[in-house]
Amino acid sequence: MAPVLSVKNLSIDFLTSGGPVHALREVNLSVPQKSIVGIVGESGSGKSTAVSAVMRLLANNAEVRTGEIKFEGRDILAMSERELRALRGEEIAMVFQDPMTAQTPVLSIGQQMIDIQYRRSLSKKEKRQKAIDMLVRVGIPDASERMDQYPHQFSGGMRQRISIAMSLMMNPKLLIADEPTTALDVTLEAQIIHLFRELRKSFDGSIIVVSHNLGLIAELCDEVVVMYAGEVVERATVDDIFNRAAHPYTQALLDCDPARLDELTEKLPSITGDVPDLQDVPAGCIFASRCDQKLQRCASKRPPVVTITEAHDVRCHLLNND
Amino acid sequence: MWVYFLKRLGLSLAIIAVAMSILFVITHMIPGDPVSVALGPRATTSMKEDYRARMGIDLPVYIQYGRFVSNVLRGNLGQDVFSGLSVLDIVKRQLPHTVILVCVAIGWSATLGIILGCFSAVRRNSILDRIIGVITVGAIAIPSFVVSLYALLIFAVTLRVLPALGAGESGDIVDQLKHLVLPGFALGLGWVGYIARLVRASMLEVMGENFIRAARAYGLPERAIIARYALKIAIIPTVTLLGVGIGNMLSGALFAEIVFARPGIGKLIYDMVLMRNYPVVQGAVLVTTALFVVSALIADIINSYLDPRVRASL
Amino acid sequence: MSAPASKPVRSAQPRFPGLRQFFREPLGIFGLVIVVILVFGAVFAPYLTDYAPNALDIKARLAKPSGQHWLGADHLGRDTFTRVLYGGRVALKVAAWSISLALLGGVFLGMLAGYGPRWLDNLLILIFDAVRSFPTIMFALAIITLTGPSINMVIMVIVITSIPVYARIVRAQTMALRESEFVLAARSVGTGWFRMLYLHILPNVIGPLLILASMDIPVVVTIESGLSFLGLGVRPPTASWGTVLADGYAYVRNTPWLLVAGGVPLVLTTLGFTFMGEALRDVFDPTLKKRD
Repeated sequence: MAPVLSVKNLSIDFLTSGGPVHALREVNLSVPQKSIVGIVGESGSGKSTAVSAVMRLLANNAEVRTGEIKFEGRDILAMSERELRALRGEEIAMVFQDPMTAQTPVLSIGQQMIDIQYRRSLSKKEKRQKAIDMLVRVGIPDASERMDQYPHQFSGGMRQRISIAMSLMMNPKLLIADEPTTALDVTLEAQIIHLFRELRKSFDGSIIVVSHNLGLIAELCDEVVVMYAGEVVERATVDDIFNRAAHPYTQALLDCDPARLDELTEKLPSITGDVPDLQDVPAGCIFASRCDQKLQRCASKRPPVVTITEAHDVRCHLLNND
Repeated sequence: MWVYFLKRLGLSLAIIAVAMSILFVITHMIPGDPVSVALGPRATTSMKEDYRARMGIDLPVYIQYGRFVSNVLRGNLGQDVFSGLSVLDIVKRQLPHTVILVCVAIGWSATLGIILGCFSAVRRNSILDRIIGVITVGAIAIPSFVVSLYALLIFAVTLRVLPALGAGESGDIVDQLKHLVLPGFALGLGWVGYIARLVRASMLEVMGENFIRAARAYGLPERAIIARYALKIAIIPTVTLLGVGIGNMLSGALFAEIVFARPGIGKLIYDMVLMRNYPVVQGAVLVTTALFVVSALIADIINSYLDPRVRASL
Repeated sequence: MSAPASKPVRSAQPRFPGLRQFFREPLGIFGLVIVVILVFGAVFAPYLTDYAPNALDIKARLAKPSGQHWLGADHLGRDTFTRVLYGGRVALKVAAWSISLALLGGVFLGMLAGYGPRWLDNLLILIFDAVRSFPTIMFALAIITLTGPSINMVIMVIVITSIPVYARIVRAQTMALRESEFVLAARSVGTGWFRMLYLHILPNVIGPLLILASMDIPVVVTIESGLSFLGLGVRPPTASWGTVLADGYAYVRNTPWLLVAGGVPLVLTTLGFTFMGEALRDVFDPTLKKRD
């Protein structure tokens, strides 16, 4: 079956007064039907840029240099603003990181949810009911009264649920959750994970979960994409990633995760070095400066994508036998 | 919502009370006999006696103050020194002219200002934006009474397209409207500049907020986002500005009325100042101040309606 | 232009980090140039013109601009250019006096309101709001009715109506700083309130305040001109931009030059100080800068 989303060779620059910043370089990813794909990476890895590009919600100074994005076979990059608007909210939807700023403060939650339905020709009452039903599904108590309340009257966890409700209401084919739990504390995070699992049963679209939290990815995802400094360094099933990680960066990430430490230690492991400056991309492998397994050619030659198994590929010289 | 309204109302009343007291106090702080000071050099002895008796000048100050307050609350703002007419009546007759002028000025300047500000924000850094930027700076830089003078010079005297003086024939709406054009324009010009710049800045700030991006992500049409999501918030500082700026506009109206020889509170005060007729001046200033405080209150109420978070505070 | 490393820094920030940056802002420099020209013209007025500002010359009545009279002459034959220059002196004097006094009063009352007991703060705020609720010109007229017109009255009225504005800002800053760490640290070692205000709070308050005051200058000058225009500020025959405008108004059908000559310096004052002030503010406190 054709994937819901297929991103090939996507490169995006941000034009700044100091010169272009090469935020994404030849990114490939694909989201199969009815699956949950996680994108993992630290801050600055380009994961938010990549998913924003899918909806063409990038900043004004972003420029797509190369690549294609196909949603259900349709070319996103070639679409007009009007065509994109038809997709957004209806077929592709996004849940944002910070629940406290995700809804407009001056309209009631219900009004905002009714607004999203403007493309449908339902009566006001029907739209209202649909919104209430959705709020119930995500676990908002007293939904029909609270519909008329304003965002500031809800807690952070509730507001994130409302964001999820607003995104799923039109039953999109693809839901993008950009760091959905990063701004929430651990208890709320657990609730949201639970909510996602529940919704998954009734939602038959695909989901992309962007996070730097490995635990979240492990709980929710079928496949994982690992990004570093604007490149995809590894793609695999969740099982392969956690048990048979091939890229040194992925391995290092896993080693650094406090949840996976076997014994008591005084020093938390970390990856030495800093993320490279994306205005001045170094030659060779992007991770070379911080890699503890690097070879001679890593500093000068950019590694190609190597296929390990059908569902697992990695951009690294270590597995490149040429 | 009601609690907020009542609290604001109470605060406004307190402010008016203190303002009244200040006016009362200054007559007693000026060196010399308060009666002569208040009534000026042209008052006759019998007027002074009358005033002395009515105000109870020889009584202790706090009793005078009490009488003053109770008089004002009953609507008695005193009597004109020269004609004996009630100050309140004199003021009431002139007030509508000023109110009309101010409303016309606010009406056109706010409308044009908001439109220009929105355009500038949405088409930021375009040619149109830069042109509007230059025009608004120019508009703000000229004091409103100077605009009045120049408008008079250019349109009434040099080009002779619009009438120079007066308010027009009563009963003839068209003529009255023609007489409103120059003063209304002069009074509002600076405000177009302020409002356009403020709306532009507020809109730019709001449009950068996360929830606007989220609204776009839900596929809402840009026009709806600007009008219902962004503008509703961006307009709040403008409403506040107008509420607080009415005071400035009332001062500007004074000059416009004098330059264009229009009837109104401003002209009244000016004529009375020249005649040293303090009771009328005091009454007129009190009424204008109360008007100012009320409009600031209305602005706050409108804002609390626009932004529900405001109702939660205070 | 920062302090040498050996001197202990008294409170949070270095004094003049941004002067060099100021000179990179073209509008700010433009404003500064205008301000310098205006001040120069006012200060050196007697040297820039041969005429005396009140010298009558009936033969030159309502003369048009010429080599003799650069901006023409008014209805009494007085040279307009000279009167504009001397009017600048009046403006400068009013601005200097009223803003200095208002700053003093504002800083004092503002710190009092911000640092003192709550009831005092509430009372002062109420009084500030009440004074601010008078339209300035009308308040001025009320007082002038009682005292008669004079330039000192104008200054006094401006001071009274400006103090609440500065005081509110100082109050807000004081209240914010009151809870800041270095103040709490100073209190913990027993610093008295006077030292606290003078050494710790004042230096942090003064910067933005001065910038605001400089942007207030055109407002003050406009008020003086307005009152003088009404004949209720400087007494004729003294030259002020307002009295030139008044003469221009009276003789508007005879000559436009008086009106132009009286109004242009006012516009220049506003442009100059506003541009300069905004550039200064962008340099010293970029957080206040509006998005562009």
